[in-house]
Formats: sequence, C-alpha cells, structure tokens
Amino acid sequence: MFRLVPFRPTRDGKIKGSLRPDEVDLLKGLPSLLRPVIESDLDDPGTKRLFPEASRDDPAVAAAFRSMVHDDLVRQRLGAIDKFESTLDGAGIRGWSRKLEVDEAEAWLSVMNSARLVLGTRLPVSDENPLPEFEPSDPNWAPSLLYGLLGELESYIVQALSVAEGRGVIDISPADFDE
Amino acid sequence: MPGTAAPAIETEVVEELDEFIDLEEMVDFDRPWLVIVWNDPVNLMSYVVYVFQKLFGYSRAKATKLMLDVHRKGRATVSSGTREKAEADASRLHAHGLWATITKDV
Repeated sequence: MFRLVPFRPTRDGKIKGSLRPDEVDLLKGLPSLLRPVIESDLDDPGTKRLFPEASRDDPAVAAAFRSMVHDDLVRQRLGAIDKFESTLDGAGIRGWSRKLEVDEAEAWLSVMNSARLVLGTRLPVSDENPLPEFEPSDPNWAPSLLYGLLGELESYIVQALSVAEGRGVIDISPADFDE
Repeated sequence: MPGTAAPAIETEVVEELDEFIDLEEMVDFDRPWLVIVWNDPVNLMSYVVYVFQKLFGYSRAKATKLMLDVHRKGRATVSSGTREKAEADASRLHAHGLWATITKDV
C-alpha cells in the first residue's frame, strides 16, 4: 500500500490525518518539548522566539504589549497542546488515523509550528543554513530529523486546512518569484 | 493679528508654521500604527500565506505578494490602523508564530 498523505481535507469539511507509528512516537514528545518553554520566564531562546518583542525601537511599547498579551498567549498555546494530546491518542501498531475537526487541526498546526520555532533556535536554523545537517554522533542529529519531519507534516496540514476553511490549495508558482 | 506695526514677512510665516505644528500634535492620534512582519528562517512560505489569508482575509494574490515581500526584503507592512488594532493584529500574528512589530507611521 502506498504511503497515505498525512493530512488531507475531507468532503465534509474536516481533516483526515494518517500517521505511521514512528511519526506518532515522535509527535508524542512535542508536549514535553513545548510546555517548559511556554511556561518559562524568557531566559530561553525558544521562549524568546515564541514571545517576541512587539517593538524594535520602543521598549515602552514592547513592555505594554507584553503585559497585555503574554498571559493570553501562554493560555492559547497550552490549550492547543492539550487539544493536540487528546486527539493524538488511540494510536496502534499500524499507526494513527483520525478525522480531525478544523479547530483540532488548527491546534495540531499550532503545536507543530511552535515546535519548529523552538527547534529552530536550538539547531540553530538560519537563512544561511535553513536545513542544518548533522552526523548521527551529534546531539542535534535527532532534533534535526524531528525538525524536518515537522516541516513536511506542517506543509500538508496547512494545505488541508486552507481547503477545509474554503480558501483552496496554496500553490506558490514559479511565476510568483519573477521580479 | 495683534500689534499696530505690520509684522515682517518672516515672522508671519513662522507664526503660521507654529500654529500648523500645534494642530499636527493635536491630531496625533489620527496617524495610523503599522504592523510589520519580519522574515525568519523557519516558517514555511505556504504557512505564511495561510496565516495572512486567515487573519486578514487577504486574497491569495495579496497574501502571496506580502509573503514574498517579507521573504525578499526582510519585512513587510501587513496592516495598519489604531494602536489598539495594531496590537490586536500583532498578538494574533505572534499566536501564529510570526514575528510582528508595531510602529507609528511617520
């Protein structure tokens, strides 16, 4: 049997997810990767990336924004992780398969994207080195594989959500890159 | 204008400018705030287009153009309005993992 598309839109406006057992195992680690970063107090580069400054030149504007927004943002992100965890259960030896509601798929997208951002600060990922490669002996080996997998899964779920939310497939064509 | 002597032309101009500048400060709140999204090496292009369409209701074409502006030029202004609106837009962008800042338009 061919490998199923990880996330695809369904006729009834939902998102069908199908993951292999090894993918499920990796995704199960995302909550414990993210919760400490979200709940930390801004010392960690991952935390700084999830809660960036809202002004580059005015500390008062940035401080006002942070005090207004930070707690709510923490709540939203933790809520997404809870929803993700509750819908990822039920995986067996053949993997995981489930029809997700749009709000559940959006929670999945939030969790995968947040994980990519956090991993991106640790590998680290940069414009000069957008897909860092490591030797298996390097501690960054497994995180870099996870980063790559999450990018792949995210690209599928974004398309599925765009269709389910009525905006169609997102295809960025070569013509878009013409100056 | 008070005074019996006719003012010199330079003084007239300066006084009018002073009045103009005071008026400018009084309507300061009318100048919009801009929401700027900055490039980053992690977020997928399709994801950024998705976020711009979902949050702002932009067409595929406009969302794609904005994304490519961010990608090529390092930043792009994605919305503008009152400070409250700019803060709300920026917080939604942050919730989606994009790096947004707000700034007063010049």
